[in-house]
Amino acid sequence: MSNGKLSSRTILVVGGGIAGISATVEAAEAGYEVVLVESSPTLGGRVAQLNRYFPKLCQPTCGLEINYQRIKKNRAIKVYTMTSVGKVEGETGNFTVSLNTRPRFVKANCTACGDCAGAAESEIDNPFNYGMDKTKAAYLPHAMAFPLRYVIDPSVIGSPEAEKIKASCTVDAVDLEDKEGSFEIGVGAIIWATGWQPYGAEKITQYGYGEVADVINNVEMERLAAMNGPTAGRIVRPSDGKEAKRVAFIQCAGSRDEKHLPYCSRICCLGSLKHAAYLREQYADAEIDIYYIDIRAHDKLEGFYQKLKNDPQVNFIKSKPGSIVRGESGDPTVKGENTITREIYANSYDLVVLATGMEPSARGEGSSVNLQRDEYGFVVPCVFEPDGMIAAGVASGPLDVSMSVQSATAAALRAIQAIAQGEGK
Amino acid sequence: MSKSYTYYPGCTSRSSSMHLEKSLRAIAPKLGMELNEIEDWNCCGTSVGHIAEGRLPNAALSARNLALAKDRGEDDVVTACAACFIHTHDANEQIREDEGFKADLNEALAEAGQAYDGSLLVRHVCEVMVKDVGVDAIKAQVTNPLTGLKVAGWTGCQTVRPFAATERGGMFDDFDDPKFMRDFIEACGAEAVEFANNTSCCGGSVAVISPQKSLQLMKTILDEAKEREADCVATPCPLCQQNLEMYQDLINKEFGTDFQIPVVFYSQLMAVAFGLNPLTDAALNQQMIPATKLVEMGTK
Amino acid sequence: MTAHLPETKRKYDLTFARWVSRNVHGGDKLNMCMQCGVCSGSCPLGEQMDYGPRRLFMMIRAGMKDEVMKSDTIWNCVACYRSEVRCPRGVPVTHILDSLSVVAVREGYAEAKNAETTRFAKAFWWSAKKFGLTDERLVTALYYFSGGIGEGIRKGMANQKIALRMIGKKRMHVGMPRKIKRRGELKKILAKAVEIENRNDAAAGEEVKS
Repeated sequence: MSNGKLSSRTILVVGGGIAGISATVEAAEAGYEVVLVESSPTLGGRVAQLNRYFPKLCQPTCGLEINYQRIKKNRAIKVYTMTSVGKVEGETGNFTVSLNTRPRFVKANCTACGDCAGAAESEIDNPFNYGMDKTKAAYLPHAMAFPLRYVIDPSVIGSPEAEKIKASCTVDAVDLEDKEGSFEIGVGAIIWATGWQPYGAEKITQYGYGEVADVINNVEMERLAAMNGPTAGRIVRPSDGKEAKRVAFIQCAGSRDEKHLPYCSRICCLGSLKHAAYLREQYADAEIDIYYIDIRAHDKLEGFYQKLKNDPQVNFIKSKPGSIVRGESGDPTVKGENTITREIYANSYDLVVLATGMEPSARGEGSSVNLQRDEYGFVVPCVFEPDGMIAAGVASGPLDVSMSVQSATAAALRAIQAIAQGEGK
Repeated sequence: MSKSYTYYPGCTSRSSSMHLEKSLRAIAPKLGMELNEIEDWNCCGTSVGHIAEGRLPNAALSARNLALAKDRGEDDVVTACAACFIHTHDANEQIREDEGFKADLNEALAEAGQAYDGSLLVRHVCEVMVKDVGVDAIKAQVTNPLTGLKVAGWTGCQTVRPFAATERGGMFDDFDDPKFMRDFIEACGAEAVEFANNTSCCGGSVAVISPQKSLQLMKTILDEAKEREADCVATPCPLCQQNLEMYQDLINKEFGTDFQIPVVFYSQLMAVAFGLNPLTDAALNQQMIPATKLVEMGTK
Repeated sequence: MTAHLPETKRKYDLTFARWVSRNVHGGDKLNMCMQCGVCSGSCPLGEQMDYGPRRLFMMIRAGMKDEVMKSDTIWNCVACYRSEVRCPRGVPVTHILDSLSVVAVREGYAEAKNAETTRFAKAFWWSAKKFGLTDERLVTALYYFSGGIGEGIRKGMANQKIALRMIGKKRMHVGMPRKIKRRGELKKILAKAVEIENRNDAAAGEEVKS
């Protein structure tokens, strides 16, 4: 193409989890304008909902905090929360993207003082804790929210309660007239960092999730162990608050299964090993059974596995259980065959944790866009040709946090190359 | 609006499960199902036929039925028996998938001047009731709701496995926790009690040859029905019904229990709920353990 | 019945695994098995089987023909299909066990020939072939007496009460066996099918030797 056509040097990043945040700061620090859009009210994504990272068991908050500082310092970055992608038109180097916004009902001058939450009476399922507890209808998504700004749930809008909430705000930050909107931007490249969601454990009917009490999934376990979780970090069973000392982990719950997710989700083995470490730290007499097909702790993570394997209170049972049922005592009971001993077992526990795998996020983001996806719904990263549509993080396939960050850095470089290519046309 | 189906009753419809056949025939017109029997149908071969002479001769039994069904046109083939369904559906699918198998079977069928191309769809009548009729239409026929009757819905294994959640099986329910029996019971106005043994196997296929193995399996099912205070157990499967009812005396003798739990078909519940005669239409006079409460509900 | 399976020469003879993979219905899917144990752990009679499906499948892969053919696992399957629908790799467990029982009978293994299921199946097939229908009375009686007159009388007596109650409720047929009309046609179809089955079986035995 001849010159004369304006190519945008702006990069759009879709998704404000760890991959989207990383890609944003990397591209911006290389001198490019970046627009970061996130459909929920805060950045941080799934990482903000983790208690600790494996294998060092450090807290994710410090990494997030550093990245938030990088975003705040950099004038080339614009962040839009509660915003999602509508239509994408054009080509590499010259996309026109329409963005849709949902109302937050709270303006930027919010000081996060919490008076509105005090005035609110209604409660909603707390999305931060996967609905394991409630939060007020005027709420801060979590302590590490970015922006640090409250949200009002649309369910109370139009009620007297909403007026009460508005009246409670001393800086007049509540805007009950806030509406849905949309606007267009021009960008040269788009990084899709739309992330993942835990596989719906209720679909594995024989494991009783949602039917048998005290069968939970691994992201819920993460919240149970977290200080800012529904139990302030006490790992107790949801049904009666009893300390969860005898705990089973079921690996490949949905993964490596033709009827569910045919692929290995890569993170669940280490996730359960980490959860075993939480339990051992909290209860000296915890007894943990990990049911597995084979443990996949690759390269540097093998050491973490070996450490737990040497712990006499962590027992590894080579078996994919057949079912989980309510036992006679009311405790969840795991049934199956130990493939080493050929013993048919039925073991009862305080708590059973399903190590559910990762599936690509609901197709909401970019569903109207003709993204190339693989047979599992992951965005296919374009390797051989410069392309302005780039996948980062778990949007491209199951990854742990450190690999997501690497993938994001690579995506930022790809986006810069795509823009250069566009300019050269 | 009535829809016509080619109907395959199966051997037990003439003997041990005559009450399923009778009650199904009684409710079918109310549900808009026109059941046209395959002319001169034969046995399906069930779960042991292949052992005697092999897979192909066993499938030849189904192939003949399907060839005769095809003589009636392209209507879906419907059966109410779990074993008939599995073996006929399975043979049909293998004919569709395996050209060599299809050719072999047609070579055998040719001996009688018959042929079958695999074009039909073999369905379980419960799937037809869920998908074609619909639970709402069942509910709409209820004139005598079975209020206060506590029913343990026991789907058994072969009605849903291995086809209920496959495309050709109609994708009509789950393998491990199917809901349709609960829906049917509730549509009739009865109470569907929680039943964890919903798809537990009664060991029916080994009951005749090694009763001791299946008695324990059946006891587990009866234990839960009793614990849940069910007035009766309801099932779609002829073998399930027969075994759980017939062996209760033996179970009582073996384990020192005192079970007297009626075991009925969903179709009998529906017949009573539709206001039909509980003894003749619902065929409750053929129960070995009388379903007294259900009969009384129908004669009030 | 002729034996078509290749003779095993060594303890672990892989021709058996290859034969199963090619000729047992669903056997090709055995290559997918990852030994997770869901099948044996889901089986209602898992505790009563000598090996259970998972181990049996590994033994097939290891070529342990005799042990597999003599196993009681194939005769304890209740055909509830729970393992089959739960298998994460799509292995048709029930179908394979079914087919192995056919192979064991055809190969003339005594354990298979004398298995209760086999005797029941023979009685059943007799009725299906002769009448086109299952006559529950005759099949049961024939099966009971297949183990000898003494066993027949003993088993018959034990179930007499049940039978009488079934007759009382008109759920057991009394009188001449019911028959389909065109029994001659059915007989011809089945005879031809048996002929084709034997033909295919012989060809398969030759193929795996080559």
